[in-house]
Amino acid sequence: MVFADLPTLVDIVFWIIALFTVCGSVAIISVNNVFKSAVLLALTMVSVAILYFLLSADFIGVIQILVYVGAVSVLIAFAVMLVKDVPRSNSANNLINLSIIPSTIFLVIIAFAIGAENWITKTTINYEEPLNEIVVSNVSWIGELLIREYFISFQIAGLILLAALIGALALLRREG
Amino acid sequence: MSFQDFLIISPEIVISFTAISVFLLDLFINNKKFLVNVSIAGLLFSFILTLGLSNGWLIESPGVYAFFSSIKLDEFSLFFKVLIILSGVAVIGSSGEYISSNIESKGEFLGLLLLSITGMLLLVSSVELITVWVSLELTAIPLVALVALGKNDTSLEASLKFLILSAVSSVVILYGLVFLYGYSGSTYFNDIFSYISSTTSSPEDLIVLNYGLLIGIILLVLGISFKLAAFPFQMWVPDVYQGAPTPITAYLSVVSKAAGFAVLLRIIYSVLGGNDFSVILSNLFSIIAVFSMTIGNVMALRQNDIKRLLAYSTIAHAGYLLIGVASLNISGIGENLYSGPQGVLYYLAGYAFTNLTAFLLIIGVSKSIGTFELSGFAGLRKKSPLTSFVLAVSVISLLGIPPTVGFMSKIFIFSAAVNTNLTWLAIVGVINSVISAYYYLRILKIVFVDPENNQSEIKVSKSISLITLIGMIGILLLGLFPSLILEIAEIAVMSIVNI
Amino acid sequence: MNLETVLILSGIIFTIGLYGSLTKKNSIVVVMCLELMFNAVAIAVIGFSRFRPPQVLVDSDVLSPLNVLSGHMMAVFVIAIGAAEVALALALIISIYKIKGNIELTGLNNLKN
Repeated sequence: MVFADLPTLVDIVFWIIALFTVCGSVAIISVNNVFKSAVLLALTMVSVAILYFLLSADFIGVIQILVYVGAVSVLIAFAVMLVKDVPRSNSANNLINLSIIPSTIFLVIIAFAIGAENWITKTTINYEEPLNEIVVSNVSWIGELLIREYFISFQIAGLILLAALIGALALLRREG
Repeated sequence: MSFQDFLIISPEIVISFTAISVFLLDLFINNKKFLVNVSIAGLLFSFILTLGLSNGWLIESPGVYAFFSSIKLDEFSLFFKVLIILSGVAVIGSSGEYISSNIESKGEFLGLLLLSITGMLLLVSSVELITVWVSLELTAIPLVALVALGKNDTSLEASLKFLILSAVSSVVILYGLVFLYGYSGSTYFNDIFSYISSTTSSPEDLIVLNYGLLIGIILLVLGISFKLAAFPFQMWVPDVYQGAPTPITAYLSVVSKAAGFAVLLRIIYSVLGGNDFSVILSNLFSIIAVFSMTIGNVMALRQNDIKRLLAYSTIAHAGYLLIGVASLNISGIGENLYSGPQGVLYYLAGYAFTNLTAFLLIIGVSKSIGTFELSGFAGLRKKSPLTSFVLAVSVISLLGIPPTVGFMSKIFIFSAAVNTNLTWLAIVGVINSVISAYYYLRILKIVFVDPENNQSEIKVSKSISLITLIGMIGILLLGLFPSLILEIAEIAVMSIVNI
Repeated sequence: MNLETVLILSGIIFTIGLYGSLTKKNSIVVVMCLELMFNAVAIAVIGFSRFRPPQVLVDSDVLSPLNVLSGHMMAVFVIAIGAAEVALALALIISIYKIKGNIELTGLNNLKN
């Protein structure tokens, strides 16, 4: 990372981006127009990608932008426009008051577990020379892992994409 | 990656290639019956390969790893592979007629079902977090489309509900897996196991200090309860079972549940095994079991639709099975005669026979009477004595009356609970069995006592008759000679325990 | 920026997604909330692989790419499969819209009889 020797700057950027991400997520479920939610989703995904860059996961940040901002958000925006006849209101169902309780309990439990666990964070781990390379430019290593250690998961992911494709086609042909 | 690696997953490779060839053949062949035959041939071929793997024809002996320790072929995975493949043969074999009359996209239906079976087979043998989650998704995504392919109006709505809840559950499972990874720094079960063992010296240590691990396990169990059709992710079950095509309902109720229990048992015994983690886990499973049993049985009392009724009964059975999971006694495995997981495996095998028989008969009968309402089954005894006898045997087995397999499996599960000082849980289970008698006996009363209210002739197709007869023989045989499965189940359980 | 803050951030986003998917009527918004949850998990896994180096070393005591990057691999699969899930969900929503002219999720018990 360029900023590796200026931790305070990274911290400031991190806090701004984290605030932006949380505000974006809240806005997605609280604005009253679905199309605006779709745009906000794209913006939130960009800020998550910046988070990945800050966490030295450059490749993940790039594919986050390519997949989520470039494909998923556009797909969702298309879907919103295709169903244009229905009201675009973003109203809530009758569970709105009931759901606050489990959600809050969930957040409290997660936060408690994270806070109470004694994570041994060796931020300054002494990466040896070749490993420094791994962390900084991880693309080639990810490619290699994908066809070696995680070969089987990679193939299964291919089958999942096939199933999603065929399933979507069969669904859209259904009423024809 | 050597040739042996591919040999080890050859059943999965065969089934996924069958699925792809079904997709392709669908474009060129008009006789859709042929596609059913191709699917069954593929499944049977992979069954032979599975037998070959277990008997040492293809590899030296079970217990080997493949693909950099992502996949483990052991007796446990072989047990579930045989169970899943045979259930798949039963579902596809008996639904040829249903598919030709009720499904528009026949090739896609069969191919997606085969892809989902591939996912189940990979799921039961994977020993690495990413592989587990990816195979879990491979089981779920085809099922979403399959539920939607039914012709009735509720299919699409049921499918949307299934998609959303399945995505929520899989993301909760994923969160749990991420905490397991974050806690140990590795995605391999064996490495996580050795890290957990190295950091925890005493049981108190594990409970007090390792909240990161604990939250991971809890999230994992909550998410997997979707696959098991257990509390707290049970609300999709009745709607989806009712809206889905009936063969898919049968598949969901047997295969999906079996695979969920397989991955749950493997994580408990391979990742956490050896450590005395049992107190918290056992309490968690007991709570889930009590809620699942009670919700399932109480809600089933009021149902008039046979698919909804069996859906609630599935929830209740998930609860009984979770009693077996809650009876954790890791150090005692091999010493006790009836350990919890052994009972779970036996229960799942018996439940596969019982529930498949019931659901496949319902496919056959409801086609003739044209309804899934319970009242439509009135007077079935006069119209078709053999059908009603087979249905009676499967319902008796679901209720748990000797000499059926349902009775023996409940005996093993409850005695495992008593052996591990969970007598109260066994008592709750028995009380629930008594409650369930009301609605099961109501089915029998309608079939045998009530006068018939319509004149439709019952014609059950040959394939359904054959498969349900085999199922009935299985129910009685396993009930009379439980050692047929129990011995295999014991070897299977021993193969996943990490000490 | 440390592990706890990243994890808490991921927990907050996950909870917002969970709350939204429980309460929203419009099924497209529910799908967006599912994507938020997938992203929350990906943030957590990247945070773990950045701040919490492997506690168990796969190849004895040498840090290998596998040790450092398995969290990144997990994120790759999460992103890929999350996208596949969205594609299927939107196909389903569009076909429901074609038949019913409505994409609202109404409670969980509307199929009852």
